[in-house]
Amino acid sequence: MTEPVIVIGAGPGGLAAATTLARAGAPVRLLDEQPAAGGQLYRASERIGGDATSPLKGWLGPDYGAGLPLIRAAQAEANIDWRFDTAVWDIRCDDDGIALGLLSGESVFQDRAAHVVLATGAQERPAPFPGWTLPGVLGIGAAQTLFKDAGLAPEPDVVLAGSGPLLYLFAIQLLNAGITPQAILETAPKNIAPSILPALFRAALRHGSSLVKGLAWRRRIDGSSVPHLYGITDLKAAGDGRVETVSFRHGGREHTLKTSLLLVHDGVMPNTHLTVAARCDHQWNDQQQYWHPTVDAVGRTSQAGLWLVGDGAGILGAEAAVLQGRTAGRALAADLGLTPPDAGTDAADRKALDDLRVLRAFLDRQYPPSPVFGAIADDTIVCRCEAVTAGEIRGLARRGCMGPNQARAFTRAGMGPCMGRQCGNSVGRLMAEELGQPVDQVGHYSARPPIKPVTLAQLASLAGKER
Amino acid sequence: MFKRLVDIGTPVTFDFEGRPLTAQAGDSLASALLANGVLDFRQAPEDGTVRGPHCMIGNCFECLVEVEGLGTRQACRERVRDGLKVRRHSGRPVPGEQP
Ligand SMILES: Cc1cc2nc3c(=O)[nH]c(=O)nc-3n(C[C@H](O)[C@@H](O)[C@H](O)COP(=O)(O)OP(=O)(O)OC[C@H]3O[C@@H](n4cnc5c(N)ncnc54)[C@H](O)[C@@H]3O)c2cc1C
Ligand code: FES
Repeated sequence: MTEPVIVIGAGPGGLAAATTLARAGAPVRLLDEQPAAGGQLYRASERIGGDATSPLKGWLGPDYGAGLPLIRAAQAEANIDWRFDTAVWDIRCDDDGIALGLLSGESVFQDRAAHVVLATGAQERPAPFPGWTLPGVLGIGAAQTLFKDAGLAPEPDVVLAGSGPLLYLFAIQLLNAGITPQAILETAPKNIAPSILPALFRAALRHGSSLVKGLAWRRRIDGSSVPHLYGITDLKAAGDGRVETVSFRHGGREHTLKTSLLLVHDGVMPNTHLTVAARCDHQWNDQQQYWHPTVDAVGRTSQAGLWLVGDGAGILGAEAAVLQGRTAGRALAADLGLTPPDAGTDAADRKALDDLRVLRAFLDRQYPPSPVFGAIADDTIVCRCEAVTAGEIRGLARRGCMGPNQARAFTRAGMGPCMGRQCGNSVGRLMAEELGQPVDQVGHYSARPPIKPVTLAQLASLAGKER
Repeated sequence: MFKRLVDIGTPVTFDFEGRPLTAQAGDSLASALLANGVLDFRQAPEDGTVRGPHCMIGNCFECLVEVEGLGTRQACRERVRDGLKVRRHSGRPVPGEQP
């Protein structure tokens, strides 16, 4: 067998899949649009982990340290052909296999393979609220990206708002670095609702260590001097050309804080642009309010030869991404007639994955998408690119507009440069709510290539070029 | 705002709106500008408001800047280089297209 398997995404899922396939003897081409391996969680692992003097490693914590060995294991495989700075802007599945459009620097070219493993990960769920388009309002994951990539940290006047494990983790990472945020405004309640207790008990039995870690984070935050408020509502940012104040309701009163930086988080959701473009079947996760591609137990999508591992298939976290990458790598190797490596650990990997699913079932219920960001006021922008408000989308639904694709044609929502990555989720939810229908009936935006920016000149230079 | 806690590379000088700014090798254009206190990167054509980076992973397209007069670039996906000329972006970027 000589034709390479193409793996897209060099985060934990893609690294594990590529390593497993390479060990089985399959040639692998591993693409990522970033300049180095690691994906979102393990971003900049080589620079930070390889520098004994960098304090970042200690500040980021032990989980982050798990990334470098994953990268080193993949680098030890001669069968992996690494292609960084290479973005996938087109994907088509046909009878001859899977065709990809790639962009590297100023060059555009095509590639093709019978088997492609997507490991393209997640994005932070867009969290619309009044003022969220002001400069200085960023995602918590965005600020963490700057911390890892550039050693940039928020000044202590920073306010963190929202909910989810990443909110706690980043607060801990800032405390480690000696930065005490001005306030943590949590949209989730402090106590675990009785209806969630059974899910908590199941998670404690299957993955107790993660719950202990989460509790320790919370204790550390509450033992620090950082004001930590639970159950805040009515979050608003205001300012002239940049965020200057944050206001919210808590304890029956309205409060206002001065700040130059507001970081928000409402969980993460799968990146679906490539799988939608590839016309994979998708399903709606009503509890977490996101679309995700339908995959089988080992990661096969509904398109022949196209596999998907990691958070792109539904949010389970990095540890699960590695297990999924290994499981898919072994199954695909077997499909290719190769002997899967470490076949003896397959059952243990699947059991570990099941444990993580039980843990996630609790996390998902404790940190559902917040109504603070979900109940979008009529005059709040949902489509940032085209400045389309929630009220415009609701109005369209009331006037008989059938779904997000029609709304896009009427309002240009989803037609701007981000191509619906920021508004697609909100537009679907708003229309479903207004029409009194489930979101999966209302549908989602279609994705037309190029799904990443490509110039006409670059496209024109494409003719006949391969790889 | 943001401040640099850890150095990531050697100093690099680039030009923003005609002003020389210092960043570090390895910075994206977005981190280079944020490290210099610049939050507003572009003017949205639809409502005229100013915008700046929001996601830092190439998803939101709020970080668009003009690089070397060549048109729209995502500052979070572009590396800073010595002597690079960068301006705020204004006007309508075509979807999937860098005019
Ligand atoms: C901003 C952010 C920060 C996060 N931080 C943490 C954290 O600190 N701790 C934690 O436990 N979880 C974190 N997560 C959750 C994250 O999803 C992890 O669970 C983990 O990184 C998932 O691994 P993965 O392999 O599925 O995907 P990722 O690690 O996301 O890797 C996906 C890779 O695919 C590449 N890619 C995507 N699309 C394309 C394309 N079209 N062309 C080329 N390459 C492409 C990306 O550049 C990326 O390197 C974060 C998520 C986000 C969005
Ligand atoms: S900051 Fe979102 S695309 Fe650059």
